[in-house]
Parts: sequence; C-alpha cells; structure tokens
Amino acid sequence: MVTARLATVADLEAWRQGLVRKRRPRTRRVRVCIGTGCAARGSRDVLAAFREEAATARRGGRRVTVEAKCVGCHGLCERGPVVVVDPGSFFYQRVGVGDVAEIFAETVLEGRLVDRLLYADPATGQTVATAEDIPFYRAQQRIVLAENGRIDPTRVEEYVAVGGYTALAKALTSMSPEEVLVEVERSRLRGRGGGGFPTGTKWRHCREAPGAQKYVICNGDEGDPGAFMDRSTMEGNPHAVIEGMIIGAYAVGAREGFIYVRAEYPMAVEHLQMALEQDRTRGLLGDDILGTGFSFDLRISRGGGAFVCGESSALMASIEGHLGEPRAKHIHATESGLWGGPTVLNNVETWATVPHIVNRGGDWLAGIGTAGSTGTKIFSLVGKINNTGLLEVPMGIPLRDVIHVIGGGIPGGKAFKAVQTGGPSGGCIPAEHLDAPVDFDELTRLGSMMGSGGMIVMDETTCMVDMARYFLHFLVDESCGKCTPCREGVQQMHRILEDITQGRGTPEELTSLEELAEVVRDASLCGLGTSAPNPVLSTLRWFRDEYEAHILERRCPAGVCKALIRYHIDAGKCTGCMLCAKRCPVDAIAGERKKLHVVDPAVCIKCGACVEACRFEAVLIASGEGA
Amino acid sequence: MKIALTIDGRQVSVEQGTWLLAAARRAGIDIPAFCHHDALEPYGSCRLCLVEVTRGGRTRLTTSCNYPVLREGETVSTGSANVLRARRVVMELLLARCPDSEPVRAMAERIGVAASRFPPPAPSRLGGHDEALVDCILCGLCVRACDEAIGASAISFAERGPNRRVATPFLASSAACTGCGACAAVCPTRVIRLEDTPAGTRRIAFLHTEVTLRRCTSCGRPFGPEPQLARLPADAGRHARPGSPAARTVVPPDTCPDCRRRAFGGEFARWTIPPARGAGEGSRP
Repeated sequence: MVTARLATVADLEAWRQGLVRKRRPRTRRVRVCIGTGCAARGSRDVLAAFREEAATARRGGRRVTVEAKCVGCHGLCERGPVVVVDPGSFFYQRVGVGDVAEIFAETVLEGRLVDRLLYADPATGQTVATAEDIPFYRAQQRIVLAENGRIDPTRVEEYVAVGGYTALAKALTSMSPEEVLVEVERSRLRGRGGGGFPTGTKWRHCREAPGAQKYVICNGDEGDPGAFMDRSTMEGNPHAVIEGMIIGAYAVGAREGFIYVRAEYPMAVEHLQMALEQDRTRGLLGDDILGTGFSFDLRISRGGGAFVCGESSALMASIEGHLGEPRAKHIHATESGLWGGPTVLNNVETWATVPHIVNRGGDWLAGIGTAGSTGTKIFSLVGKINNTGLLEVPMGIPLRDVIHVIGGGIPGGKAFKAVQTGGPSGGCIPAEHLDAPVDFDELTRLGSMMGSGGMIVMDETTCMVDMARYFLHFLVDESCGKCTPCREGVQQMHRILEDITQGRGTPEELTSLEELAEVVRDASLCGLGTSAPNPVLSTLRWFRDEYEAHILERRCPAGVCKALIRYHIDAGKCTGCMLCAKRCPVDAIAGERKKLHVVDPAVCIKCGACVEACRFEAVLIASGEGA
Repeated sequence: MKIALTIDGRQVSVEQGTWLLAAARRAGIDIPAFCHHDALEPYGSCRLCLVEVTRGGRTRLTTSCNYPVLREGETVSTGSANVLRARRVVMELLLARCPDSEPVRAMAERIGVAASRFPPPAPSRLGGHDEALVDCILCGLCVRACDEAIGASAISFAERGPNRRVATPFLASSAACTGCGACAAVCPTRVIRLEDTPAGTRRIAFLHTEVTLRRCTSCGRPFGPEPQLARLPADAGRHARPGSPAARTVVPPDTCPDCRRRAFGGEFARWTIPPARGAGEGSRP
C-alpha cells in the first residue's frame, strides 16, 4: 500500500489503480449508514455488531472476506438505520442490533434475503430487495450524493478509488485556471446556498479583482430548522467538497481557504478534519500539490451556531474573529471580502459539484435541469411526509413528484396543504401549484425561494397562521439585532401573529402586519432581514382566508390554535370506555362507563391527550361560532 | 475623479467614493439619520437615512450613509412615497422601543410621525435588567467611537436579536475603558452619561464602569481619568514651541488645568483635558 506523499499526477493514478484492483467485486461487504439520522437510531451499535460477526466468521475459518464499513447518509432517513449488503446491494431498513446475526448468517454468508427487513411499499405491501427498486431512489438523479452511502467518508482511499481527485489532477495538469473558469461558466451552475448567483460569474469577478491575497470559503453553516443537505454532504463525502475548493482556488488564484462549519455538526467537523489531514499527508493539499507547483491550504473555522453567520458578510466577520454581524454589500466580497482580500464564498453543495464539471465538462451539467437552473439540487424533505429524507433531483422536477413519488405522500391519508421551501425565511407553495417545476426562478415567482433546499411539508392539520408565527419566532431570536427593521420589525410581526393565533387579532393589525412585512423586506440590511417576512407574505398571499377566519370569525380552520378551539365528544361514536377520562391530566372529562363522556371547556387545557387516547375517533375539535 | 449624479432633481458632482448621505447634505438636502457620525465609518443600522437609488432602470431602497457614489448617472430620490413609508415605519419601530426618549420623539416629530402603532416590545426582551437600556436605540455610535476613534474597544454589542445591548465584557467594570467620555459625546439618545463623583471617580452607569480620576498635586481637585492620562504619549508636547508652557508641561500632567494656568503665570497651556461631557451634547442627528 502506498502511504507516501503523491509526488506527481502519475502517482495518484497508480495509487488509484491499485485501490481499484483491491476492491474485488466479489467481496462480501456490509455498508452501515452512520449519517446523523441513522446514528441517532443506533446505527453505530449495528456497525459494531457487524464488525464482531465478521471477526467471528474469520476466526471460525470461513473462507469469505467480510468487510463491515461505515458510510455516509443514504438519504432515506425515515427508514434508518439503513444497511446495504453487497454483492447484490440488498437494502435493509430499520435494522436493529438484534437483526445483525440473522442478516449476517442469511444474507452475507448465504445470499438469502431477510424478508421482514426489506422495504415494503406502503400502498401495496410489496417488498423490494434493492434501493434502485424503491420509488424514493428511482426518481432521483444523484450527482453530488452519488457516493454518499457507498464510500467510507473517513478514508481518502475510498474516495480516490471511485475517481476522487481525478478532476483536480486534470485541472492542475491539463487546464489553465482560465479554462477551468470557462467550464464552470459554461455549466451555468448557480450557487446552492440560496441566492442562486451564477458561480462562474462570481469566480471571474474574484479572479479579475486586483489583490495578491485571495481566499475561497465554503459556507457550511446550514442553520435552517429541518435542513441537513450540507451536513450530509460534509459527513458523507468530505473530500468532494475539498476537491471542489482546491479546483476553485486554482481557478481564482487563491492560496488559502476556510471551511466554515457550525459546531453543532460535530461529525461533519470530524470527517472534514480527517480528510484535510489525509490530504496533506498525501500531497493533495498544502505546498506543491501533486508536484504541480500549485499550493493551497484549507482551515476549518467552527461557527458558534448563530443563524445569521450563514449570511456571507457575517460569516466572514466571524472568521476574522469579529462579531458575526452582516455589513452592507455595495462592494462585493469578490473585490473585498475576507480581511479585505478578493473572496469567493460558495455553499457546500456548489463546491461538491465542481469536480463533476471539470471531469465531465460544463456542457454536461448545463444539459441537466432547466435553462435557467442547471444541474441537480439536494433537498431535505421533512414535516408531514412519509419518506423523510435527503434527495437529489434534477432542477425543474415537478413539485408533485418530490412530494408524492419521492416523498411517498402524506401520512395518515391526509390532504397535502402546502410546502415551505427555502427554510424559515422562505415561503410556502400551496397545493394548486403542485405542478410547478422546482427551479430558482419558478420558486421566486411563486413568492418563495430555493434557499439552501429545505422542504417542510404541511397537511390539512397545519394552521398557516400558526406556521408563520412559528417561523417568525425562530427569526426573532436569530436576528443579529444590528438594524432596526429586522430587530424591531420581526419582533412586532411576531407579536401581531401571536395576537391573531390567540384570538385577539384585529383587521387594523392585519393591515399593520402587511405594511410591516413589506418595509422589513425592503429596508433591512442583510438577507436575513429582507427574507424574514416571507413566511408572512406568502401565507397572506395563498392563505389569506385563514388569517381572516382567525380575526373576523375567531376560528382556526385547521383546529390548531388553542385559544380558538374546543374539544368535544361525538355522542354517536363514544362508547363510554373511559380511556380519555383516565388520560386527561386535568380531569376535564366527566362520564361513567358505557355512557357518553363530556369535556368541561372551563377545565380543559387542550393538550390533545384525549384525541390520542380515543380508539373510536370520538373526540372532535371544533372552532368558530357555536364551537 | 468626479462623479455626477442627480439627487431630488438636482445635479450634483462629488468625488468618487463619497458616501451618498454626505453628498446629499453637501448639496443642502437633509436626510435624517441616527447612527451616522462624520468622523466614523458608516454602519447602516438605524435605517432612517433610506433613499431610493435608480441605476440602469432598476430602483431600490438603500441606506445613504453607507452607499458609495461610484458610478456615473445614478438618480436619487430622498422623498419618494416608498422612502417616506419605509422611513415612517422604521421611525414607528424606534418610537415603540423608546417612547419616552426625548431625542427619539424629536426625531419622530421631524419625520412627521406623531405616534407609533406598535406597543413597546415586552420588557423581558430587552437584555439585562437595566432601566437605562430602554432608551438605547442600538445605533452603535458609542461602540464605534470607542473602537475607531479612541482605539480602546472597551465596549461592544452583546447577545443578539431582541436581547442585543451595548455592554462591557461580562457586564463588569471595563479594564480597557479610559474614561474619555467619547461614547457619551456621540450618543444621540443621551443614555450614556458621565458622572464625576465627589469620591474622585468617573462613573459611566450605562456601562457599569468606573474609573479613578487623577487628583491635582497642587489643589487636590480630581481633574482627569487616570487611564486616559496614562495613555498620553510621553512626547505629546513635541510640536510645542520650545520654551512655551506646553513644552514645559509634564506628560502626563500632574496638576489640573487651573493650577497649570496659574503656574505658568497666565501663559495659556496649549492643551488641556476637557471636563466631562455627556449630558446635553449628543452628536448632530
């Protein structure tokens, strides 16, 4: 095994070929996902159990080589822990430590399937053996996530074996920086962090800006509730991000770079740290990379968890050691960014796309997606959806496919109401626009935004006013407080939403709310403030009737806002089983066995325990007049 | 290089890189602002100086204090309907925050905002427990003056969102504070006040800070903050005319300005430490 520094591009290629030869296709291999979702459900214990089984088998003299390895997020987090067994790529879901021995004996050693752990279609009950047969995966097109779930993110050898760093070698030896730049421009790649600014244009501005000391930065400060695209990429394939950054640095003329990761992502930090060390040892990072004379190094900067530090100027202030506060951007970072040097700041996903552009050409990426939004986009799908998880799809895919095919629809047979895209400061898209193509411009046209790719699905039991209130609550605390409209305005908007959801709203307040939202959008200093009113503006646009019901009729149509609802028991359905009365924490339900139970509204705290307890759906929620 | 632009229909020509607010004021067009001071870097926090800039057919709201005039042919409106509405709402928000502050009310009146539609934010949301914080609009002039003009960086912003406040590290008396009073001098809402105590200290209650005043070796009267005097360079009098009182003054001085005047027999000491300023001397809004 080559452990030495790679002195030339030929060394890299020789090493890679050696690694490929060692990856015998007949090797029995168990891939256990250690992404955050699966790890939270105990996948590390599952991995340890598989490793033990493998060791026992070896000791027992069985002549099979079994490799149990950890891999990054597979994406179908809803069904974690996910385990894949090769050969055959058999896909097991919700695997517990107790299932390991059976999988090992049956599938790994004998090649037989363990039926009960296979994915079963929720509609038909039909089981499928491999990931390719699961609709969640079939409708995806994985480029950035292609190796997630396949390679061990803690070993550079695995990345190199699947072609990692070949793009870097190609760029450094057979392309000039200008040629790299032209390929990125031809790809028409737009920044995946939310703004959607053309990456090639940004790079060119930086390349052409005067200044000896230039920087590249990776924004891994993903802070949206429910978003884990960047996290999974950094955890599952850190080298792809690093390779993209080295290529970018070469193109723009930077010798130093930073990866800004939030400290709440310890596994991402750990995997990136390991990757950087391995790359330095191998000569893929640092002085004279692969003997080409190009030098570049990267450092990790850990963020303290402020949402605003995902904003580029605040992020740079934070790296510099200042307060994480944004500043006006009349002069772009590509002219004067980190420590005044021309700086390119791109998102994790953007950087991870770059090696593919270099290897396959800009035209190849431009051929995927739509004219205005090329390539693929990673989304994290959460909320009221069957398949919570991570997905990568071509730009322009109809929203309906994301929700109903990949997402598998809404649990409990409920009706889809809207999907919030772009995180807490994005907007919602209602059911009537479910056929809209998902791309930068279309989402903006519908009053939402791409953002970094979080999608939160809401069903008929979601109150849109309450949802706006929830997101505004998040933003009140995450505003840095520098400028008046964001600090004071978001607070005031949140207060008005509290009033409305608590049944105290007035038509005048609704007018104030609307004007306030527009002014905060137009007058705030940074992107956090200008987008903070989006949840209000977009719910007002699509669900104004819900606001009016709360204000004019004191009614919450979704039956969510506690001040406006009342629990009562359906006389026709109640069997008098007394279960609800037993569960009620405040003894608000009266009634004898076999007789109709009654909720005392004066005592009821509207916790919903009775609804969950009732097996006959007899506890109902009413809202509005007569409720 | 001179750049031509139009502000409210008036042709104006300014040096490239001039801040738009300065360009407008130079042309006699007043734009209200709370967080601006000519001697400090623009900050853009109060948002009262919003104007509309049209460039290449695209019009947008922007703050004028931190907008550099770089390109030819921009058209600026300081009083369009959009500008006035945004400014009014921003003023209402500030007035809701500080309903009892005299300078804030004066500004509201100047802008034409009689009252705010919004109630004061919940008290618990104002960071800390200080009554004095209630009238602070968080413009950041004190923080910037202390950093940029004085070089002490004794104070900074702490916490975020509704809890943001100006503070010394850990809300303790600041070891870096020189007691110079620049923060009080620039404070537009006059919430930072200096108080020279009979015990010979200077207290800045808003910042939980107290510094010792040096006593005059001649009359015994406290006359200047110790840390500020200690920062005076030893060659502070190097430009003074040889033999003049200034050249003969010990640095840092050990006597108060009055005693020095007497000691020099009526000769005028070239520099003196000004008395504590603060109350009633906010920066020009």
